[in-house]
Amino acid sequence: MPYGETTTKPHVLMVTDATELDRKDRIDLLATKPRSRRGLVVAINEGPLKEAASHRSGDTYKKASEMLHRGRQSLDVALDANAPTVIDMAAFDPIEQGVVGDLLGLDMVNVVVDGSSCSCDPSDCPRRRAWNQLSSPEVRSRVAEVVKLAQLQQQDWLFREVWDLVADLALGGSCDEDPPTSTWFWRLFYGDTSLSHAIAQAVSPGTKALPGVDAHLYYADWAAEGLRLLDGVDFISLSKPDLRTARHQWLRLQVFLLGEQHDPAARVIGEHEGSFLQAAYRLDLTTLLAGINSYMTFGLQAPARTQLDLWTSHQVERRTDLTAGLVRLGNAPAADFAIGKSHVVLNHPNTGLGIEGSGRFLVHHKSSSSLDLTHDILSLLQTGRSRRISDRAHADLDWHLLRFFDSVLTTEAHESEIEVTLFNFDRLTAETRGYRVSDSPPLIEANQ
Amino acid sequence: MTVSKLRGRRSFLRNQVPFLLGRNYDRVAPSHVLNGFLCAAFGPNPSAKNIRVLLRNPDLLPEIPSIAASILEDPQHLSRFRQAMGVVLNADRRLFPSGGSVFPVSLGMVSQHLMDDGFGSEVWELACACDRNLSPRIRSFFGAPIHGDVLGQLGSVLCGDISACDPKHSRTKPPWDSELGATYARKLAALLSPAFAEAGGFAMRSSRLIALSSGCFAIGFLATLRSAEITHRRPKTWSDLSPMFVFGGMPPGRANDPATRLASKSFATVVAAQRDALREILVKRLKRRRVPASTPKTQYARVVVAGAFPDASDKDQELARDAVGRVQDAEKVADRLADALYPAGFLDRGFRRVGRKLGLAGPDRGFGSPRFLLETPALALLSAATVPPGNSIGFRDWLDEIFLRFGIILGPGQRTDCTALLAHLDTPGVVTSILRENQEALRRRMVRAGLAMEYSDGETEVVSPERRTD
Repeated sequence: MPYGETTTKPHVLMVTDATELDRKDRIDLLATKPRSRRGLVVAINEGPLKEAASHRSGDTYKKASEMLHRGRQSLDVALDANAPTVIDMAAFDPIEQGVVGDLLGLDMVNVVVDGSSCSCDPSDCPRRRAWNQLSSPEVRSRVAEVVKLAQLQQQDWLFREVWDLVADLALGGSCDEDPPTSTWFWRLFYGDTSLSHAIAQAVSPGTKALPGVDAHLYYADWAAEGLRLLDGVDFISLSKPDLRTARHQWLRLQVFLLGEQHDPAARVIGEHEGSFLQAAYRLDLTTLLAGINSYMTFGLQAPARTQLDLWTSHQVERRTDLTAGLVRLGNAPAADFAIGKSHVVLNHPNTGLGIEGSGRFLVHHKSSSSLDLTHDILSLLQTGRSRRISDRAHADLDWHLLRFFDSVLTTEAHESEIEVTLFNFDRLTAETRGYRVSDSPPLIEANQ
Repeated sequence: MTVSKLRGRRSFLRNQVPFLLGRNYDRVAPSHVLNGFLCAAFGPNPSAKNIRVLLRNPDLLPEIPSIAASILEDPQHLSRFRQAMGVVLNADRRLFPSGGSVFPVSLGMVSQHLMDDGFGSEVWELACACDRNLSPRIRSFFGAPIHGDVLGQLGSVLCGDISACDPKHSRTKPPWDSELGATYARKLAALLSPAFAEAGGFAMRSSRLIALSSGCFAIGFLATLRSAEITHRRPKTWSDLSPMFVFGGMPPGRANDPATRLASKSFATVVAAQRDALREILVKRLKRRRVPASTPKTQYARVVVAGAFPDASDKDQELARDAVGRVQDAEKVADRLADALYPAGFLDRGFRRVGRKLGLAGPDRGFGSPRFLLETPALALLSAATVPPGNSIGFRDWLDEIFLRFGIILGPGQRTDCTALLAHLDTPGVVTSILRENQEALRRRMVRAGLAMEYSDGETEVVSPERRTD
């Protein structure tokens, strides 16, 4: 039942936009509960939610707001029967969930493509013929995987942008151009949407070598083994592929995307082998922890892979360079960490919904600490730490990491051991010294 | 020659203007200010000498019985131990063979060799006047180390018993008695709150000490920047003072950026206002001193200087007499004294050098004109001091709060029309657009630094960098 109507029958009240209500109405919405109401669904923006949460009677909103923030940082939210279930639509990432594949399989979209105006014969229309390739679930799944690669360029994508892409794949371009720009596989990379631009940048299909394929395409050897696509998917040929580079590229895209022996997404990810971007993408914890450990020691020490070293620096004054040493107050085993994605559904009894957002975090559940693994942070980690304080991006990352370590140290600090690592930048070496400190009797001795 | 000798002497106005920039402003560093602060609060500790010997006098053997014989007896081990402790206790490199300050993990490390140009004790007086419980809070902060506090243990093992450190007597009135001055003092004192956040806050001693050190230094800098003007003008609101526009983008900012230029102009305006205020205070002091008409021309300077500045030392008075010469008009005497005490460029250089040590002024080096800015740790300090742990506040409300508390302009403002305050520095249209862009640049920086959260509906809230522990 929509908000504003009344009934004595059992019902679920739907408030489609609580942002439009004033603060009092938002509070009253939860304060009064008619017997016939079986449930309440409220769609609300975060600003009004915070406003309602700050009201003294806004406990439910407050709980929702707190859960939202914890979930967004990938921190666990304990099930609370007295708190609402929260669905964070802003955290939901349609790309991550492979929504593009689902949309491309919708009958509605097929009808739109069939009904699109075109100057060519429908039975030989490149747009329609190419669209038939998408009837294969395997093809749609590959497309969804390739679209996910846009996250290598930009982390957050909106539903609107996904719909723009689907609309462009279905109706964009023209069959009259040479080669036809109306086919979905062309538009996936060279369409007019921000998402296709990001995919093209991330994948750069023109630079991908396809050994044994190019020659067959050039000589129009359509029966060649190397040009075989996935089961049940027809290869769409063009005459005289040697005439124009664009025609060659048009044909090549089909093999690259749908070739039986190819996996475009895995190939692009594989190119980032060993990178922290790939580690975060594949949720590879040990590579990431080793990367952070190595970053902190300027790469001068072999990094631990099974634990995160928790450092502190007592340098307060801004000088031109960093101090040549760090203090290690503890370390936390890798088992206590996880690379998590932001949660979309919170406080729901069914924990196995598996709906996650795009944001990735290094999470230490014991201390409820999380480090946002943004592209900026990952690429800075990859670059290596800078000694110069004028490298502000690195100085800020240092600050970020030390804050995270400080937070983890609340549960992982050494009780009576202090370790100091000294860097020698002339010889490019680092040396760690450990000392035990005991209270009774008062004694400081070196670790063996 | 006389002019350079008199430059920055504090003895002339110290009793009237707190936080005066002194002649040794280059020495004012966070570790020295914290040492001075703790020394004023609890007095120096004799064991600080042993720490200095350990860290900076390799020819002497430190008299610290708790260091294992295996370390003390092996010169190589001892040298390595000295280096390691240097990283823990002397990261700012402000400890010298003859004096200086360390990172005080224990009150026993507080030294009597004060190199803070008097800032530490003044910060203590200000903070103590605004927070009666400060003394016991610091005492308990440095008390027995809690479980897992290895730095606290290290401090107590190196320095032994600190029970003799008792709080000293301190002032009970804020340093400025005007309406805004008293409020400003309270707000400045709140910059220490992140170090003592009761509801959890920073759990580790090192982080809390960093917060304490940054807080003390920020108080010193923000106080010295405004002290003369507040003392002289006795303002009621920030609009009575020169406007302090702070560059909100990534420091230090490009030289041709309009926001950078406005920040530089604002810096120059604030400095000029301080100098004018100091001159006016000198004039008032000199005019108050009546000089008999029969005083010979050659004796005028002697009489007027001795009468107006009785607390100044004989040497300083002599230097002042030389600077004044045979001038017989109070205004002219004040001009000459102001020129000698605060020559052109002295305050600019001083504020810049002091501010850059915490990232509140810059650029660090080069030919760029000085300006106010906020490096990320300084930004975090401001948000920690203004947003309670675990809470958040709307970004624009926060900007208003920062202006009302510290007089810092970062955006157009909601409750105060900051464009009008800066109108004399540039054309109003330009100022409006600079303020909007500055606000947006700061917002983006804070979101990236995790100091603010951006919501899907365009709302941004500033969050406390401190964690709340439930």
